[in-house]
Amino acid sequence: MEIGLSHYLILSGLLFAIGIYGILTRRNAIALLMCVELMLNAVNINLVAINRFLQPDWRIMTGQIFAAFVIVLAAAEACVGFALVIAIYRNLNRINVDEINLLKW
Amino acid sequence: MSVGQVVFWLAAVGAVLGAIGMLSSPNPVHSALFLVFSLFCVAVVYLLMGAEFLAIIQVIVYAGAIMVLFLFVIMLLNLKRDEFGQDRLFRQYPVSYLATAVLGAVLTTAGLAVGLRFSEEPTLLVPADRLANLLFTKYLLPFELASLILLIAMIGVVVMVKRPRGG
Repeated sequence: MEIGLSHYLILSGLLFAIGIYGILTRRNAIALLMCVELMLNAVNINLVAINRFLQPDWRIMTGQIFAAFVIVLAAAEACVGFALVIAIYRNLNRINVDEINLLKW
Repeated sequence: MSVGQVVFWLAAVGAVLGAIGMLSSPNPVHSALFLVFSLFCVAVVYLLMGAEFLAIIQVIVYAGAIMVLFLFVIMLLNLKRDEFGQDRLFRQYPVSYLATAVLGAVLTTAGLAVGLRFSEEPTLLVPADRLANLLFTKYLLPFELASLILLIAMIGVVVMVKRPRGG
């Protein structure tokens, strides 16, 4: 069975669903960041696969450019997220996100 | 089965198993290693689609930079097993199972609905200079904005983790 667009889309959907499950069940901030990275990767697979299979002219690769930008944003997001985690841990001595409720009325 | 199909199935199964292992491992370091394994399998998937440059970037950025960041923070905070492993959000579990099942079903159905579109052309490795040509001409503005975002992230990180003076 030849590998087509469906295979890539289903792989990306599975990874995204696993990431969503982790986001919903975990409350450790580091685990949440890991799940976000996983979901961004699932989106990237989608972008590259659709660019590969639905674009007749393979020289046009907007999808790959977008995926590269998503990787850049993922790196920036991870840095800021970890800085927040470290700052919160230093001040409150905890990193479980449901125990951090300073802004909650 | 051709070599490409075997590689695809290995990479896809590896990516999904790595993601599941990341969620089920009680040890934070093992969890980070599972995540990197999964991301490496995604890099192989990129390579199968001809996105040579993206596969290299994926390995460099994720295995090189983000992985080190994860391990660094895990070691720095000295997470205990019970702080990281399965959490006690009992009321949220049914909702999360339901949401995951619905989302997975919808995405899988959407993936099946597009049909098996095969590409007529063989998969060609997209050379990096072609990507660079696009990046520096047509997508110059987003490129500059991305560099600006990285600069802002860098400054923000330094400001956030700096200890207050005299404190």
